[in-house]
Amino acid sequence: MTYSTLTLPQFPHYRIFASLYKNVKNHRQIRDGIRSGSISADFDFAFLNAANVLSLEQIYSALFRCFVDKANGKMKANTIHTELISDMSTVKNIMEALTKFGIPSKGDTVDLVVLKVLYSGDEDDSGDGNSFSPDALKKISGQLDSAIENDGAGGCCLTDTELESTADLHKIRKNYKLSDLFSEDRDRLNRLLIGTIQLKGL
Amino acid sequence: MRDQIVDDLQLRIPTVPLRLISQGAEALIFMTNQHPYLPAGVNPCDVDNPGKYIIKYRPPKPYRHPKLDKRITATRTSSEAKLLHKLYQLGVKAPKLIAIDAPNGLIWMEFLGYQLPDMRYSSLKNWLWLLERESDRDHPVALADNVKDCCNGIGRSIGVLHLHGIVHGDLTTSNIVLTDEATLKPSLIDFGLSSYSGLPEDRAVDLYVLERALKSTHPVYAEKYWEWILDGYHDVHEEDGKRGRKKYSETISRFKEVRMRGRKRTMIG
Ligand SMILES: Nc1ncnc2c1ncn2[C@@H]1O[C@H](COP(=O)(O)OP(=O)(O)O)[C@@H](O)[C@H]1O
Ligand SMILES: [Mg+2]
Repeated sequence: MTYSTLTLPQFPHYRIFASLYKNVKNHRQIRDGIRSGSISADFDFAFLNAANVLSLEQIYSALFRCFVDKANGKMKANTIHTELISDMSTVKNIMEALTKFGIPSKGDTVDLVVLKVLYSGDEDDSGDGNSFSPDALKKISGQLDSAIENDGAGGCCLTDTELESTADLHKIRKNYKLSDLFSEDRDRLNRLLIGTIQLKGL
Repeated sequence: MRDQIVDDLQLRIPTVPLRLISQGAEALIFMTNQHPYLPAGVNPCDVDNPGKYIIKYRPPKPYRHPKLDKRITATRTSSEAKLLHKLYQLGVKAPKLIAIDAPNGLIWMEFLGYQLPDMRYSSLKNWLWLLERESDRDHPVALADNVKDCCNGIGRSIGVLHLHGIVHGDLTTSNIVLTDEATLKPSLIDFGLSSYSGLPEDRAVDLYVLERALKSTHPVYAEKYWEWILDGYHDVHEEDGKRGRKKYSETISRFKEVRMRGRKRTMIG
């Protein structure tokens, strides 16, 4: 059970729990559970197919977009986590975003990036009690470790090195609709994704 | 008035240190060392000056209806940001887009440029002025090969823009900067007035504005600079093949007309 916490300089009152679960086997079960609502309400996360994730900077960029839209009253989804998945994607339609960028339905095993937006201390205006504290983080991590089956490996820290091993350039090319713009050069590819995320819907 | 605007922005983003470096008709330009979403220690990939960012801010216009104002600001801001991204896609040197908050008129972009030996910022204007001061009959450093290469590069950048149906809209010697002391690679900046246009007239005016700007800020050497810029402009069109050649001759013949009109106007006026 390892995880990272992310903070954005411009939005210091948010803390983001972040972890990478590799070789997940019960992804369909989790996906179906979320869709049917049979999983308990406090199982509230942004699950991202790690295949589409190239870098931490890409995730930070989507978080920024999400918080800016929230501050401006421009959120399109009904929860911050759905908004976040949608902000990682290029598609307008939220269902389609969830299908392409959320938990995949195919594959024997998949890699998942899991994010949860928390609020530091007194700034918790969410009303859902997602306040940040070391205990809260441990609890979240435990909750995920017991729900996600990956041969007991649990989650690992979200780092660029880890993400490099789970990114799938073909998927990225396809899902970000890059076609001719696609580049094997990761730095260039990364900037293309960041620009796309920042400008989505504008 | 200005202080009020700066204070309001600072309140909106209290954790970001702001240094005002320029104020134009439409926007204020700030420099900051704080990336909008990456914490200290995580550097953005593939930017020229990590740790140095430009914030371009279009403040609300008090004389417009607030709702309409927000919409206009959002449109202009996102159109400039989209252009930055487009130019990155095209491989034209321009500030890279880092972040945008369109309704609030904010764009974060890569900082380009460096400090010249005379401590000024490396705009084309400042650089040429410096070289011109150092030039004399025996050593006209302002006409050296590196200036020629730089001018060629500027012409090429403008050419690529035009080939893709983009006009810059404000090609002055302050809106062109040198990005690297070693290579002197030029970049265009300030896409606030840029637009898509297929009209030879708009491309011709783009060129004319730059020619005029060069003549007024660099009267002694402008002719040479302009010749070199046009060489680069010509070359990218040539490399584009038949379509490029056609576009080039359309633009240039219109450019000559625009120039004539300009002359007449100054003769009368
Ligand atoms: N990306 C950048 N990197 C470095 N300096 C910049 C950048 N963008 C703007 N500046 C500085 O700010 C000045 C004004 O910015 P500009 O975009 O040209 O706005 P304006 O429309 O007010 O002219 C420029 O002349 C330049 O000195
Ligand atoms: Mg300018």
